[in-house]
Amino acid sequence: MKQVRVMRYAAIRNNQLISDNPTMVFSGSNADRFLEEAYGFLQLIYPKFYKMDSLCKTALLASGALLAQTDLLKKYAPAEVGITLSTRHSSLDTDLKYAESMKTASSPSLFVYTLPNVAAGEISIRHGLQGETCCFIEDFFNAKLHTDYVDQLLALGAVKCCLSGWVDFFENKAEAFFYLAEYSDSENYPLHQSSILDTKYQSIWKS
Amino acid sequence: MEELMQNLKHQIVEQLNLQQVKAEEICNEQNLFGPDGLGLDSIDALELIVLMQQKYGLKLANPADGQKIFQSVKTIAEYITQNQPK
Amino acid sequence: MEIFIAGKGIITSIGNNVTEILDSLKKYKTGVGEITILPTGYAGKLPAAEVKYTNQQLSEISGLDISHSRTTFLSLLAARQAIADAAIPKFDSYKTGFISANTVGGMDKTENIFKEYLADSATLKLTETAYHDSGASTEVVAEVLGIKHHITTISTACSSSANAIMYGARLIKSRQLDIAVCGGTDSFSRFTLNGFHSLMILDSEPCKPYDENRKGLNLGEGAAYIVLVSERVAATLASQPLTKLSGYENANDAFHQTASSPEGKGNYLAMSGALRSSGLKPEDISYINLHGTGTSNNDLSEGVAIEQIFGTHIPPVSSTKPFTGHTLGACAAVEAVFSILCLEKGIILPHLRFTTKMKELNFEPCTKFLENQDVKHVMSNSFGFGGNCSSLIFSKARA
Repeated sequence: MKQVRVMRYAAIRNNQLISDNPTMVFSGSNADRFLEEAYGFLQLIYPKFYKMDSLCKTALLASGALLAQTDLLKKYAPAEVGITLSTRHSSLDTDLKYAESMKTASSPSLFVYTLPNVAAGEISIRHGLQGETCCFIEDFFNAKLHTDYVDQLLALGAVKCCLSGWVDFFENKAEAFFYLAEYSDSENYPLHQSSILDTKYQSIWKS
Repeated sequence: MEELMQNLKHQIVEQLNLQQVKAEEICNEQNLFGPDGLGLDSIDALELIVLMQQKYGLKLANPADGQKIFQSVKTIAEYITQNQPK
Repeated sequence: MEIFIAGKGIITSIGNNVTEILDSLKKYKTGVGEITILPTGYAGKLPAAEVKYTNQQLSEISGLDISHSRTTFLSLLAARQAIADAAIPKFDSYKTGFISANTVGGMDKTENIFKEYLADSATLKLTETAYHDSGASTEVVAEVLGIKHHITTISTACSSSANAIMYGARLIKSRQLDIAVCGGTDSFSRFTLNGFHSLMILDSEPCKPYDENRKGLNLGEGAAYIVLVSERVAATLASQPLTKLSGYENANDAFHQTASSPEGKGNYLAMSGALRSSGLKPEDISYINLHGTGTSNNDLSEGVAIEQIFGTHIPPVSSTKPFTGHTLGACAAVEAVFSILCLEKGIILPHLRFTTKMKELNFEPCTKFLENQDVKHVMSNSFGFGGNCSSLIFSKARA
């Protein structure tokens, strides 16, 4: 039966890139170098990468690992693929840096990244996605919020496929837990249910 | 002029956080914007405006003026030489 | 299932409630002027649209103690009005949600903490700043209002509160909620003022959106909420709702971090999608409340996309940002309240300070306050940084 299922996932935690795609697994040497090392590993060609803030870098890397070897845009129109993110610290890491720049001359390139949804924007630009994007501020990865929201987007036909998940960056700690949800009748893929996502998330966070 | 251009290259690399570019590798007349040049974009142009103000005391009121001035390291240096308060 | 609008609440620079704001709109009275509340070196140099209350005054009026942020005060004042306006019998017996949008959070408070944080980041606890994050305001206000079932904060730049309204409607459609209080709040801060200034998109005079000689936007502040209700709740109201949310769409421009694509791709997708979701044709739209910020880039992209959809039959359009300034995370909700007022009162709102048509466009905004109009369907656009583009369509409950 066609149900919303989790087609794949990718996560970032403890300077590691974790994924159900065995070719998309990577361990970094330390927090200071992880984001750039992972960028090199993923071979994402995105000239803006070095200019983005760390929240966007984290989101872009997780999206790169998640969408590697998928050809979403062969299957869907750009406007049929949406992005739903949640974050705790939002753009606070950059907010602080930008506030520091305000003492001398406010930096436009920092100010641009003082909005968390720019991370969804960067993913959209890199992967050419134009569907609905939303960004929630939550204290923790709220699996139920994601499953409810994304199920509804899919049920109403607002999008046909959704990149969904958690991304956070603060005090040099990069975290992401992204998954791709779409209708599928293949039982090889787990159902898009909050308890299943929670279990997956917990297992990664404990690893 | 040559010294000013060398300084500018270092300042541009630093201010724009160009991690993949070495100051020494930038040519004086190389295009800074666009895909055939250094690939800078509109936000970088704004950052260059901040640089001009902070380091050279030059205020660009209209971002559109930047298009001409920021073509290359050479054009920036020329603009500074012509306009810097003595 | 239809989603009805049972109530609305608003506070902006042109008034502290719906009545005052309608009066200002009617009298062409702008809220854009000299900065007098926010302590900033730009006072007298850059205009803005401030709510002319100090934090102390807002604290007294809202009944919240002064430790809260300006964003929270504004949010509570507007949300409280919206709930009172809805006057839903047995409000507590329903599943109610509070979905609030916000981009700067308690930045006015956080700004003052930054200095200490940067001087000594080891000793200042993160929780002190976290308290001022975007989500804190939502939780405080929901608690005061007694809303428990679903509380969340959305931050998608200038289209944030449109996303909040869309989300609330969907929660009602899927029967997770009966009532959704949706909207947004943002306060004016040095953080955003200096940031927009660094992007060189602030007009040093009162803004002139959609004008050939437009020079940028003016920042504003405020909060607005609308109360969305299910058919079941609507049936219990003493006075039947006059308006409904009939369509919505969000799309991503996928072009640039802050700039819109020249052809307004995301804008086009949002407007055409909203029409599709409402089942309406372009010619059904009686009025468009533009995003119309006054930046060169926004107005051109939006205008081009409007021409692409509406062709030569463009309904009356206007931007109300010359009145309120750009209220960022609150703007879509502020303009949703304006759109609902247009439907309720049969009015079309004036676009201030317009003199010269843009050479790239074949239409110009409506500059008069028009009364006795047959307004059936209103489209409201909100497009934000990060490429986030939303369009909402409000309609008369009985067309």
